[in-house]
Amino acid sequence: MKKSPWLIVCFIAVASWLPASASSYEELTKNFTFGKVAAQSLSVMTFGPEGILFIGDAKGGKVFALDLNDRVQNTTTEGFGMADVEGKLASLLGTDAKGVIIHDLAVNPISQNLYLTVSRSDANQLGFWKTPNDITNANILLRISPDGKITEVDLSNINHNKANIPSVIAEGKGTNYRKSDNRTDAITDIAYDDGKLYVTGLSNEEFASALRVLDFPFGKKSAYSTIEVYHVAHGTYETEAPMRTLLPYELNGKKYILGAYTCTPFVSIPIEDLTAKKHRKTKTLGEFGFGNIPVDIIRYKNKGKDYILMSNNSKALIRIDPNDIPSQEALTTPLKEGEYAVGIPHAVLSRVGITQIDNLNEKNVLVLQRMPNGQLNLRSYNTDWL
Amino acid sequence: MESKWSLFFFLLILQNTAVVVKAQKTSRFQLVSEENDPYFGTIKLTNYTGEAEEKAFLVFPRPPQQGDPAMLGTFETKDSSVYFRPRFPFMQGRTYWIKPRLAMEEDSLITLNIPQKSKLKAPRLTKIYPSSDYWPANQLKFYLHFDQPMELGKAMEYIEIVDEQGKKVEAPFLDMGQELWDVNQEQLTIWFDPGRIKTGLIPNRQYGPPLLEGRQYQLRISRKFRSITGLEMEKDSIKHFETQPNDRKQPDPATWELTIPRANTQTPLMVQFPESLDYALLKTAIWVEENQGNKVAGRVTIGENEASYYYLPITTWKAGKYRLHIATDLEDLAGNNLERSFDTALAQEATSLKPPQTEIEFVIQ
Repeated sequence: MKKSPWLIVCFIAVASWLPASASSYEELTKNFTFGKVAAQSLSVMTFGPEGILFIGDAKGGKVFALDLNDRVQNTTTEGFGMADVEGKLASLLGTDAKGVIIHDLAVNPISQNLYLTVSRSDANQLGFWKTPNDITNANILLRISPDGKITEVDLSNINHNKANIPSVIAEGKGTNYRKSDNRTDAITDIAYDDGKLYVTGLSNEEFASALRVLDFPFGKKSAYSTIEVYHVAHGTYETEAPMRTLLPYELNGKKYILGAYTCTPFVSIPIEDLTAKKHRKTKTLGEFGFGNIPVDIIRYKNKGKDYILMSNNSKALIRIDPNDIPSQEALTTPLKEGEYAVGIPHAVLSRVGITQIDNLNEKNVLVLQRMPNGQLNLRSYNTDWL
Repeated sequence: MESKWSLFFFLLILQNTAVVVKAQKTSRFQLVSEENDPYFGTIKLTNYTGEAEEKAFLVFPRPPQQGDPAMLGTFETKDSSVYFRPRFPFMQGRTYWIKPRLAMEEDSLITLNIPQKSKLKAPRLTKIYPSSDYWPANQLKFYLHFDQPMELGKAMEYIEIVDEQGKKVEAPFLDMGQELWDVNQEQLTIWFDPGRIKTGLIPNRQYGPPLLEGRQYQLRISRKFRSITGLEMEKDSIKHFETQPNDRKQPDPATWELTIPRANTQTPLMVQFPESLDYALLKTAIWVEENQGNKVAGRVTIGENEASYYYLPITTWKAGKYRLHIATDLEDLAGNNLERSFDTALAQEATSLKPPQTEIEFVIQ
């Protein structure tokens, strides 16, 4: 029997509409329950490839995994743009553009819907050394669809699961150099890769900086290591400063965490080293300059070749070729007179004001960028030009 | 004749016009500003006969421009009125713009001013914990309770400690850029600088401890401490306290006295401590369990000087064995908890001996 071409068209249409990787998704969410996401701070976010949103709650010392029921595949390779995001959020929250703060941004890799954690708070308090989470806790999760519509994600009854972060730094027991409670840095970033959630931040241990590895689905086990970095610009080993952003990355068949610290060492550590309650030294690959807080690290492909892209609060985007990582010697000596950035080769790209970044689709990187006219815009950059 | 009719029609039109003008002036939109009203803080649209309430109107914090989304919030219909409750409260002294979606008022934009609350009450400091007039010289922290949400970021300017000579104690507190308020912004925790309290630390050696033993101090909270509505307090608040020797002893449940209620009564279980304990921790760190380990549902009351604790069950006590459970992070006024003394060096701690007592068994007959 000759198949009708319409049947084939229908089949393709249905297949492309079906949620991606349904079976592993069922597996990952089977322990989820409906209820209120009792997060005290929506501090950081990341998506898994199955469209599960992970939220790190620094104040609550917890991580949450959310099923957003947002799994309709969007295969477009188009970009996205929205001008004056602060003005639009202000309109939603009933205040001025200076009365809203965006805390984090993540893109659902399946639907290409954007998610922002936001607070209604005084953006005039932000500074080079005053991050959104230093000022207040984000308490609202917003979704922006590709057509630009903004809606709130109702966290009062949503399918989710949660896990406690082991040995999290106590609240009210000291402040950091930014004059905020150390608990603010209990979770500074999270990343998901292949059944593991990596959570950086401060612990209650003698060496406070910690990198935790949680099994996902939650519940099986979690491990944490305290980590130490050679800080080239400061000329010393440090154990108190948390990694600000991280990226699981495979090099020559071995998995690593790549990460960056304030002022701005770029480091690697093999994932196999992150076993329970061990103290580890990371390998400092590069020093990208003091006076800066790194914000996000992602990977992307430019014409088929992998690159690593890092955004910052006080520097332009930094691009690293991962092929340069294996041959880079560990940096273990302070900056010499007149030196600023040393170590692994890196390109500083010609766009300023970009803080949050994430992969939008295979052709575009989404950014949150302060434009020359002062507006905060969501924009995308074609990966062929990055 | 003709002119008479004209006049009649003219009056009729005039009257209708007048009615329309009046209807717009006493808008069908109003702010529900009576605090006891369950719809307090909402915008109310009266005489609504449309279908779905979401379609009734949109609200904006500025005259809506192209692409401005309407304010987030929920709509509810009751007795032919539609109420809009914003996701975040309307801000006092601001104007909001309402865009009706009704056919009759389609193109109009109605403004609504949110008044500065006229009957605002000056904020009051209702409680200071510890409430005792005797504090150990190594007192770790204290709590201020206000009767309304207070302004952030100014606490250090308004709180000071003065000794018996009227001399201000220099920098006694941990100066945190981020103040420790509860979610309602009504309760503030202030820490004495732990670096000055812990013996041997650099601030301690350089400046000495913030409080000295056997002295009379005043904790002063300036009337200039303002509520988030901008009102100052009516008067300065002063708490007198006398300092006792440093307390480096951990709380020990073995020294507590229990007054055990009788079965079939709803008398509270009373626990008397030999010292004052931390108010905030007391409320959560102690509870009562039945023999099987289930929590007994009840309410906690803290007694005078935070030196006693009452557990009032919601039903009458049944005869049987019970346990009073104590979390190890329960602290006394100097921050000593069941596991460690606040001033213990880490090396010493490693050798510390027996595990703390976290249960007291008792029998109700």
